[in-house]
Amino acid sequence: MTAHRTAGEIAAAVARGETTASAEITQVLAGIAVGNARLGAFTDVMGQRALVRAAAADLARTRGEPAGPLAGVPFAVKNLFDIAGIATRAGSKINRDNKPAERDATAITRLEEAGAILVGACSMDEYAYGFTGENAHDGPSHNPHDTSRMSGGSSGGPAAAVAGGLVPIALGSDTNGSIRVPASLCGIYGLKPTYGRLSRAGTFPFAASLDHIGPFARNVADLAAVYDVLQGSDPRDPVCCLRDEDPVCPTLDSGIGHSRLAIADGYFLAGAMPEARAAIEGVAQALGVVGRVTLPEAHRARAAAYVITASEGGALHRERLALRAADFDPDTRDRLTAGAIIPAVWVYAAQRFRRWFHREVMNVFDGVDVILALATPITAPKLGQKTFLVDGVELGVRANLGLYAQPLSFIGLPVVTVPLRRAQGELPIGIQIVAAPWNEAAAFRVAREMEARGLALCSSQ
Amino acid sequence: MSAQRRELEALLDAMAPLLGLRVEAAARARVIDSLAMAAGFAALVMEFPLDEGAVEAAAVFRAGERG
Repeated sequence: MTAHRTAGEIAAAVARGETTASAEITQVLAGIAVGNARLGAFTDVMGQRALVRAAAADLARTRGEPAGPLAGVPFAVKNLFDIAGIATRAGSKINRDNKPAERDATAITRLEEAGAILVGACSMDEYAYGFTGENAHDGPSHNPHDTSRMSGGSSGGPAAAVAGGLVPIALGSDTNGSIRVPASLCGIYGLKPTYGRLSRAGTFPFAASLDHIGPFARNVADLAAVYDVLQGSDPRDPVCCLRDEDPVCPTLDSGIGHSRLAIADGYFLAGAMPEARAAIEGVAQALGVVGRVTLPEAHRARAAAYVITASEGGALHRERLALRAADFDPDTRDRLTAGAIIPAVWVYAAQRFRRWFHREVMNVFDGVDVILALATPITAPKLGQKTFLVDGVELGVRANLGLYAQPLSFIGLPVVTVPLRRAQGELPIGIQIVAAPWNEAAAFRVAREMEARGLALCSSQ
Repeated sequence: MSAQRRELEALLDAMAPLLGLRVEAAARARVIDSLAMAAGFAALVMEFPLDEGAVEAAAVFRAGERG
């Protein structure tokens, strides 16, 4: 295991003048040049842009300008974030023919205003429609813990880049689990915030009524620092909230003494490998969590999320399906084609169920503050693996990796994914720390407590 | 071939031209498989009883807001 520097350590060293942004970026670019051949995490390395910005930041420091909270911290983004000057490929072949983006995504701008420096864009499942990190055009991103295994997806590249120590932080997107699944399989922290909390402006959509963006990091403090910088309303995103910012860093170490915690049972434990179930039970025992909650009809919530996703995705891509069908990954194309012809009656029923499920889960939060649930039913499958066995039952990898993630994003709940401490040689797996809408701070405090007690541990490779 | 699969094939054949989509023969079975999965999930949702007057669809829209 290699000890990689955190974003907090880099920013502190830059602020103290012990290093420069240029030195940090030069070092990170060299690491990417070596490490990316193993991981396939990056599709675009923005070396020149990063060095120019680092030099400008160093010059500003010599003039006495204050260092930002993320001064000199390198970061990467999933390649569906707009980066000025290049086409936003969103994991596709087709989008490479688009004209270059004219400006950066809002999230990139906010991180760079805080002193962070973008070093590149990372691979993903085509058009974000998948949980594997495999890509027919760019090849797969590899799991740093075992490169013969999946990173998870669809934000596979950014997760692999963080877990592999190429960058300390990265941004991904999550429609049905695309931050939480790769965070779990790669053994890192990930945040899917409340729907509408963070601006998605300048990102290529998938299913707009379910799309979120969020960060990856190797510790809770970095995840919280990035999240706080990203907050704030944005007129460029029609669903980005007008709520006041709610920074989580000031209360990160407040503990969980008064929090009511419970494990999600039923649906959220069925279908999991026995060691995953044992792992979450162990965490509950260590935290003294005895409560159990049942999110009613979670299997139907997942079903409704599937229908809405397929329909919105199919509608979004209809023109590309009509004009450039041969340029899709066939697997993506055929699912999007089916989605495009889904009857409206099915979608309307799913949207009504969404309202009901939201209401029922809000009632659950009357009696509990934070819910713990497995993030994935299994550890990272082998690349190309199609099925896995649980309790003697064969299940599909592609359809089931997001099993536990989908019902939660369906109603926009904030979720911090935390890597459970694993024994030497065991593959990572994560749990979801789920809070009521807009209460990210409660989930962060539990994550921090787990980290402080050694229950959570990111073992970047 | 099941009755549902025949119905989904008919749906595909009717809708694809309306949407300007051409489904090659080699892809047809996979598209139907995907439709069948969606149909199964839709059935799961629609069989759940909801009070018509009490549960409005969860559309993402707030009247009066720009954007």
